[in-house]
Amino acid sequence: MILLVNTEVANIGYWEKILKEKKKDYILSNSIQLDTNKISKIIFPGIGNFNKVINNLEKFKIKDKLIFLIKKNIPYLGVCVGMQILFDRSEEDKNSKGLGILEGECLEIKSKKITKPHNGWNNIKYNEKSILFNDFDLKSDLYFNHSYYCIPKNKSLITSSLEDDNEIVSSIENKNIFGVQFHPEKSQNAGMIIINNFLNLK
Amino acid sequence: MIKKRIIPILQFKNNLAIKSKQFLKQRNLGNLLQYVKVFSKRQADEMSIINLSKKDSSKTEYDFDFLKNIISECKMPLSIGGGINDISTIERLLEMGCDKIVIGNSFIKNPNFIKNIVKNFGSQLIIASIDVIKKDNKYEIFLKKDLDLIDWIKEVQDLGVGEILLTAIHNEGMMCGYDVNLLNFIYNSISVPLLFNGGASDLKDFEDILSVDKVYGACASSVFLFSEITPNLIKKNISKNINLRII
Repeated sequence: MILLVNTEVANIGYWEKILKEKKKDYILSNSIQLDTNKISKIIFPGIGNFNKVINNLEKFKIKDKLIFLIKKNIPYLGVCVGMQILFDRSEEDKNSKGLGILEGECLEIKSKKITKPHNGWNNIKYNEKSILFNDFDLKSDLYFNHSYYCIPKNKSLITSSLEDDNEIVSSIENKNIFGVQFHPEKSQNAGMIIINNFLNLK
Repeated sequence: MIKKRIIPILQFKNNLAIKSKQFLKQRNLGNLLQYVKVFSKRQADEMSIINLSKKDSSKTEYDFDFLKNIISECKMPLSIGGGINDISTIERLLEMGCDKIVIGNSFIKNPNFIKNIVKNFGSQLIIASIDVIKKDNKYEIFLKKDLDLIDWIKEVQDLGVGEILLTAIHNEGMMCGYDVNLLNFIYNSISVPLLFNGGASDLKDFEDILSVDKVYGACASSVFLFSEITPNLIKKNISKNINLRII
């Protein structure tokens, strides 16, 4: 069963629709029936502010369960802020404290090459091979909407970055953990390839 | 490279899509869902829908059951706006799968509302909508004539909006071309991605504004509703010097 993390500041309904269409069993993190033993994958959709998301994880008492499951090597897909909160902190808020599962931080976009917020369709290039991009065509555009981006301390975790700005990380991978800065759920056919690759992970 | 966007924009009242001319003379176009399906099928870059449903004259009414269907059919980035003035409406729209929120009048009444949204959801969520009308050869903000347009643009940017949607009301629904003079007039004050709206009627109109560096989105409705032109047709014909997403 897939755990869909609901922070109340994300497009959870759209992910529910995708999982229903694909006939995948899922459970929302705020469900009283949540049994962590039955979770085989985690999807963390993201839209909100870094601190608000972290605070809501605490408020809804799912932070510890989430950390437990990730450390248990359950495959995790973090989207946008769902990837960023894995790191130690973010410039989005001075007092922010992320989950600290991965070493690194999130920085504000201060690029001469792209505007902030980086909103719209853009291309990526690969740094390291990731199973998430199997069958993905690099000519396809992906939909981004963010003002911050993550920088892992261990650069080998970076699997792709923006084609026109190396600095801006677009995806990471560390064992069972996958993070994407773009929104695969809104990237039409190209995004579905990536979602399918995650759902098909054994 | 980041692509410039062509954004169909639709107004709706209750469950029906409508189209106005200069914000007046509303014409009923039928079920909104059908239009959303068409633009989804054509894989538009993004879509914007503006709610004009009102129970009485003051408060915009949000029918979340209806919108849930609309949003789940919208297989592209979607922004929703119209009379939104509280965080809980935004939360519900996001939860259903909406990507960005368009806010105009509520910001004019309460600029702090911008800060509040940024704090909860981040800048990237907000499109500040500014409706401009040309009167006696001067550009005025439609809802607050004593507010200087350039000052207001700077203020919303300082408060942290992600994008600005500028509509030239005098051209809206008229299919007479975008108001390029308005674009020139505000150009220097723009520091966030600009979405420009009002008057598109042919391919050249899109080319005219999308070739301007600060314009990241060309919004249009009548041209998609009442002519054979589609977003993809525009892209195929004007893409030579403009970065567009070709399907």
